[in-house]
Amino acid sequence: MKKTNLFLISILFIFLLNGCVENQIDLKPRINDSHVKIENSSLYEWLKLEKINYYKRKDELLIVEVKFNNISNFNKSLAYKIDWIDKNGFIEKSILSRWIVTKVEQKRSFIIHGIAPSTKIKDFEIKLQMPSHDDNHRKDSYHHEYQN
Amino acid sequence: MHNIKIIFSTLFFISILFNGCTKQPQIISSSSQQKTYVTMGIDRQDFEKAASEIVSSLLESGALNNKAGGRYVVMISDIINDTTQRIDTKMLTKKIRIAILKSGKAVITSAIGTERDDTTINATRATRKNKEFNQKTSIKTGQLINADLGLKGYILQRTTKTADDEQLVEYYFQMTLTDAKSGLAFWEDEVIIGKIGSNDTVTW
Repeated sequence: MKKTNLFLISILFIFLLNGCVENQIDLKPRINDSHVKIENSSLYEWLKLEKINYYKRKDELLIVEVKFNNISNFNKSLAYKIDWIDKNGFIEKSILSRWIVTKVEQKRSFIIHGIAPSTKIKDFEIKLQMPSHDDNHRKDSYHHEYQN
Repeated sequence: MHNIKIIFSTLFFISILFNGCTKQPQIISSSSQQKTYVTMGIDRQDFEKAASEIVSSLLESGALNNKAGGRYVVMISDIINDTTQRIDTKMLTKKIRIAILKSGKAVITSAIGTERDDTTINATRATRKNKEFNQKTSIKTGQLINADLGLKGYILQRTTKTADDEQLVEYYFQMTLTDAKSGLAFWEDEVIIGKIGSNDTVTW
């Protein structure tokens, strides 16, 4: 009988101690692709890269589609821009490369879709930022598109 | 004299107070949360947004891909301004021209259309029999290239009142790419920009 009690108590202890083990934090990065540049680390907390798809069409224009997910329980704002890069690594200046602010609803996905402005484009980079109040004060046309 | 000063300063303060009551116009977009203060009329950013979306749609459609090889020659046709504002439509067409040329998918003609360069075309030909010019550098006849496609557009405006007694102004940028030979529309698209603001604000 004593042995049974001892056995039950030891099992109970094992369960109790098990609870003391720290919950393992998921360190797996949610956004891990060389084409996506996160410029505010706070975005890692709620933004998850679901899928990235791109290919060069027959007419030599690169087409890109990236799907993100807002894994938080809050609606979030996000600013993004696609930089189109030529074969020499230079960023093409184009009206197709503008900062755009969008709202991503909680637990909803969000898609960035883009087409290269030129047949010379070989690569792309998607920049993501948290919109801030001073965005409106940026004066050059390639940063002044936050309201769109 | 003292009374005039008091009246003047009172009026000044009242005008400042009332000025603060006017609601600034804000841009509205289905994809935007941030409210930025802009005008109720069409501004530079609206032209850039419209041009960007139009070019993106045009390139994505593949309508500029010449199946016979080579590049199409595109003419800028009429851009009709059907708004209450005086708009220089070059604000839109220039951006589209730049983007089409940069894309490498087509070339734009300056020989015909609403954005033709008559000075260059006519002046260089007017020197044909002028002895002051080296005639070897003269342009022979029959050198101009005709357009394969024409880009035509409309800018429309619709103004309504909202339930909150505010003014809602919508601008429609509509573009069509027409094949000059067959008259068929190869591509068409529309970009809508909506703005909401006080009724005290005017668009023109």
